[in-house]
Amino acid sequence: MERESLATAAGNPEQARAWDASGRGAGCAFLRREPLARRRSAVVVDAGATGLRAAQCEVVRRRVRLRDVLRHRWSASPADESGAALPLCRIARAPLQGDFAGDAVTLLLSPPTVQFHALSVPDAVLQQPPDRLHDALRLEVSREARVEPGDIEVRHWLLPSGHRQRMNVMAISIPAALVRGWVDSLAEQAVCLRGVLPLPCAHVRAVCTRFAPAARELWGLLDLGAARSTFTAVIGATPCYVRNLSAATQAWRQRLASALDVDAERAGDLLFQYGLSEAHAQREAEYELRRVLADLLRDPLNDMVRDLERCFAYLLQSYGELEAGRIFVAGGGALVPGVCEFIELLTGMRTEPIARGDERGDLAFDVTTAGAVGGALLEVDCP
Amino acid sequence: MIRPAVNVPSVSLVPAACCRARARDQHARAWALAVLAASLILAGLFATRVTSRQAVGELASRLAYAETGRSAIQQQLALARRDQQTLSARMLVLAGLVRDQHWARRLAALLAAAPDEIVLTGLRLEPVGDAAPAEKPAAASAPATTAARETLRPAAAPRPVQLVRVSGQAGSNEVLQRFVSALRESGAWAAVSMQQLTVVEGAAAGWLTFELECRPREIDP
Repeated sequence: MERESLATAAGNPEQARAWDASGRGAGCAFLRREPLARRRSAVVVDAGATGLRAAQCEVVRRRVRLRDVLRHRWSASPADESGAALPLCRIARAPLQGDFAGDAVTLLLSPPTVQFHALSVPDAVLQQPPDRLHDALRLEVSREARVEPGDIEVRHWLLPSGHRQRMNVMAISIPAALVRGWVDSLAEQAVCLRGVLPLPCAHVRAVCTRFAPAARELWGLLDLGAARSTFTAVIGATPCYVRNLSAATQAWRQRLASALDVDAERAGDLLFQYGLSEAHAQREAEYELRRVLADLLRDPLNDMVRDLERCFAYLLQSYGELEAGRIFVAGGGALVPGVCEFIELLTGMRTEPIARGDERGDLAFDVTTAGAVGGALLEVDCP
Repeated sequence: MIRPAVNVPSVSLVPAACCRARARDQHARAWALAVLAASLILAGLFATRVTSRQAVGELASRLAYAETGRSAIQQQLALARRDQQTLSARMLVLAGLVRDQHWARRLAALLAAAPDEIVLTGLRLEPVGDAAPAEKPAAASAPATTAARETLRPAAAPRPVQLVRVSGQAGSNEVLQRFVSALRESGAWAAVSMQQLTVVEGAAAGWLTFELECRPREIDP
């Protein structure tokens, strides 16, 4: 197959057939054995800095419905930067709560636990059998991450064509020992770790339930979390650029707490109650408070928007013929009133939170549970 | 199903060895379930077969017992039929004896009714019309059919109806009349009629030769 046709496969029926045939994309088809039956439901857990979100989707009469959603807030942040301290006990209890059913969970992980690597792979390598291509990518990623090839798990997908620096593969990696430890720990608690998915892909899947992007449409996805933020540039439905941002709601809360001389919890309440938008103010005092909060957070917000603009500028430089369309915001930071309007005002791009009402009665999620629901949809999409 | 227009990459970072182990466990579990289900089905079939075989054996033994009972009952029926035939034959013989004694009494009464001046020279029995021939105990060897059994009944058997012809000589006409009157009054005969009456030639005066026909009551009750 020619390189051009491989690279453009992400948005065309051939790629779709490849993903349908392999279930997990061309990169790891050889790793799986065909299951006995198509998966009918999936429990996906998104363990973030502030809490745990779990969702279960199931296929009922050829339709996907959301079986249950769980939101649990940590009393103290349990996860460190590497993700090694995932609250596995609480994750193992997730399928036992509410209306959940099953004994297998899928974890959602975001950077830096999962590393994203945009690679330029020669045509000759792309034409190799999948296992050889996988070995080559593992070698390339291990060299870039400065680890032994056997110490990491690597998966990949093809990037859309047109990258001027000839980046044609997006590889993701994670320490293999870390995942094996999770598998063993969960197995001790009678829970099967069925999969480990990158959170940006789950967010993209959630967005695709309410927005059908064109194959060559460029849009952004900002996961505004408590401890860190991640920006994902997406062409069509393929994440093609992932970058960590410095913006984080915990930092904003600390900034407000020190400026207003209140504790962090009170600052958080003010932030999430009044936010940044002056347009929503009902009274003069409220207007003043929102303006003060916006002034106090103006610098970090401007930094965040500048990072976003740099990312889009890089993407537009790499894919010259594309045009940035819109930005979706996920994570707890999207609950801050006015943050989407602020981004939209400065970037000029339509910005809206990832949320889907239940007007159709089958799937509903908000900015915090979008990742878990999207991951569950990804799981039931693939056998 | 809500599917995106283009496929979202979905890659799992679980190590291949874990995936293989999980798949192996799933297959092993599926095989174990299949083997368990097959074992249960086979056990059920075996139990059903054993139970049905026991039931068939029990039914066969009951059938054999019923057959034995039927044979015994048939033997008893045959014996009873044979006894019935024997009793019927004996009854016929007894009935014949009863008839013989009846005729003997009747003839003895006839002789007793004759006065001294009457000499009886002959007594002859003649069957009347199409009356059945004299009965024989042949029914004893007849087949035990319903019709034969009907013929074996004494009441239904054809009685031997015979006329009694009495011939003799009388000393006078009055004596002869007295003899006829005695016969008629004896009640044993339905009718007593004179068939022949001649005068004896060469004998003393008044001697008559006569022949009477006595019709028993079986003819004219």
